[in-house]
Amino acid sequence: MAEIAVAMDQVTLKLNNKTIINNLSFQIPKGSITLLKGKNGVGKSLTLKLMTQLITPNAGNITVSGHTSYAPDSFPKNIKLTTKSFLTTIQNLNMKRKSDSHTVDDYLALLNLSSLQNTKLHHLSKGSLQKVNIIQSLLTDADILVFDEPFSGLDKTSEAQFLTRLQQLSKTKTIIITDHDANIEHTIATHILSLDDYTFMPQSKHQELKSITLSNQQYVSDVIEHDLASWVHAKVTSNHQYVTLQVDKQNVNVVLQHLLKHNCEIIEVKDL
Amino acid sequence: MIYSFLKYEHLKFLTSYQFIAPVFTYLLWIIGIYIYRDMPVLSSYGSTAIGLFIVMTWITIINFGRDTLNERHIFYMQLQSKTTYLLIKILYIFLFSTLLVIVSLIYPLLLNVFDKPVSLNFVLIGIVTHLLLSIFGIMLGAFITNTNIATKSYRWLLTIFIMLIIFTKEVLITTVPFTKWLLWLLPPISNLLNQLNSDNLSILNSHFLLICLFAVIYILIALKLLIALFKKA
Repeated sequence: MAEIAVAMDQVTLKLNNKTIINNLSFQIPKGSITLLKGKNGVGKSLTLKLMTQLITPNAGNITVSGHTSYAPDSFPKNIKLTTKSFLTTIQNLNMKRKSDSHTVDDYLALLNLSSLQNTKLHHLSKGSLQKVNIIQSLLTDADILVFDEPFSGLDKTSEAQFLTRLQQLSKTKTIIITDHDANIEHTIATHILSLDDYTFMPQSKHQELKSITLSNQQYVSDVIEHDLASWVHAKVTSNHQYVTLQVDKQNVNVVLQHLLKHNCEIIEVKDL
Repeated sequence: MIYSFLKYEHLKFLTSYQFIAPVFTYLLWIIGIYIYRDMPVLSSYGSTAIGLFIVMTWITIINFGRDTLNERHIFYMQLQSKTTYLLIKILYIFLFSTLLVIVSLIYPLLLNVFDKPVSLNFVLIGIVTHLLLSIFGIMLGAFITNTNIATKSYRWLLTIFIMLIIFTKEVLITTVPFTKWLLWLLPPISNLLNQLNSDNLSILNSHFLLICLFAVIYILIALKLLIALFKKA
């Protein structure tokens, strides 16, 4: 069995008495590139903050194996230091860096930021600030790299170079990303954590599944458990109103026919 | 690591220019106090120490208030500890305050405004009281900005309220005696300042040393509490 980098067990998070994350469980294997996906407001950024232990859950356990680095969704705009000066500070904070690891200059060159190294941070554009944000997290010798929407504001060239670097890093590190761009899902992600239906699975398996959402009528659970157990990959009850089933694409028609035969009200069928 | 983050804090604070208002206010305070000649040494030091307490609270609130949540998160992760972040920032503000302590003690000596020669005893008492009051100011500012005791919009209001209670502590206890059981929670600033009423005080005076010891213990306990509340915030 693969070693686990981050594990969450029945984690619940409430903010202002509103439940944002409810009984979330998953195990991210070491050396994987995991994409967190989900609609706006489902708690992607908060899940990352839970993983990095910047916030603590109201219930459940979180286990993190190793040192974590973190790039937030945006970089502060009020720092009046130069790019080089800020990143050198970050590099100096990480005294235990390996001799073969990249330096500030390497990363400035990689993300085409060398020409702005003497520009003060508060004068940089959103995209350039995002590059600084990415570099500060890469300068650590962390085992787990966590990025909150790192591609936001990046140009295509920098995005491609960063993706390549992430693939290289994934040989020795675990990478966790949130992003709305399907590009990541189909290029470098090895695992997908969907916060819409609380599923975690390898990217290849994820592509083979469809989700069927139906009304949570009284008899639905009986139908699923007695008649469809062998056809359904997973069942998620996201709230009292709906039940979502994950079904192999090849079994979708059989499952749909059976649900219709039992007068189940089907709301939506879609790819995961 | 500590040096790198201290240097970063220093560059960030200086380039923000937000230190200008409190520092100049304090310099004006000192100039105002020493505008007269033949001043008693210790009560003059007491007056500048009160100013330092207020200004260091101000500087601490400004310094912590400048950090955005994302910046804090970046440094919590880089330093691998929220506590390290808090302590290094407090250390930086304390080092900054030592410059103001030096100015407070040297300025009147240069102008020769005191009514008697300044002995080593007076200088040592001056250093101790200024440092203690500046730490009390830093602790108050750090509590206001790093715990959940006040939202951002009520920070200044709460600070002024606490300061008013601190400075009127003795009057409050005299008029409403039962408040003495609550007001001992506040830093022993008035106890310390009361000692500076007379120029006959010796640094080795047992009562003065006892108050200083109590102040140090108070600071250590407050720091421990601050760290615990900061981790929860």
